[in-house]
Amino acid sequence: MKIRTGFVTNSSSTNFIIISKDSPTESDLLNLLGFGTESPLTVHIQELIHEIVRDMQPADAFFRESYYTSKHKTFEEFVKEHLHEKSLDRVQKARKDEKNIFCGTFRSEDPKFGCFFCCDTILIENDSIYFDATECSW
Amino acid sequence: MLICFGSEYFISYKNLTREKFIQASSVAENSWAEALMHRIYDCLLGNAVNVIEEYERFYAVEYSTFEEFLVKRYGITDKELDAIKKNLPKDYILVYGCMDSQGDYNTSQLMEFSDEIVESVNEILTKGEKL
Repeated sequence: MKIRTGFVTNSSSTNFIIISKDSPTESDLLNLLGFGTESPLTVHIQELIHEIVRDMQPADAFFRESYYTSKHKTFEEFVKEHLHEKSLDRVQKARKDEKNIFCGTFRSEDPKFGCFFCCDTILIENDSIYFDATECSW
Repeated sequence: MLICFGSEYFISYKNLTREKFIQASSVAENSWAEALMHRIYDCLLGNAVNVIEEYERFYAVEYSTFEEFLVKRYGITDKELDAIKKNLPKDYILVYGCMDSQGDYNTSQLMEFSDEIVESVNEILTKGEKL
């Protein structure tokens, strides 16, 4: 067991979006990040990916149920304010192309990679998935 | 072998290089995972001090043995010294680093507060050493 001896801050959370034609599977996201089954770190990133897939919501439902409705009139406004500058175009294009847009949250108090993703800036895409987690709690 | 004592750590290795570390991590080429592995490598070995060299060049006059130097210079306990000696085969390099002083706070936190991640990084270091 590790004992945290440094300063302790309040926790933070950040949001991410995933755009894809189909609902992404855990395997799709592992592949997107570049972790194969052989990597010793895969087991740890898998824990986070499992939570991402389990907890992500369709974007409009996520927005409707979030407190961001008091700050932004539309989901697009939220994207423009919180995520990478190119994500607004991606969201608009995804709407036209009838692709799925999912949203979720990372929390800094999550162990291991949950905290890492919350406190880092990540933008990755491949042929089938666009993943924007550029919002960083720092 | 990565031996962590809170935020401070020692790594013993002989043949490990960045390329071997990346190869041993079994991640896809040019992926986010590969970039992460470079960050972990830099975090652990980028600013680490070769303590055997440090002892021989600067402290051999002051401390009669390398063990005494480690205990007094780095403030490690007898138990920690035993763990280092156990994982320091002949001809290996031993480096010292401190997670708190690394430039990549996020990566160092990942290892500093998870024994499981340290275990996996050790697996990669061990595998990389054998390549």
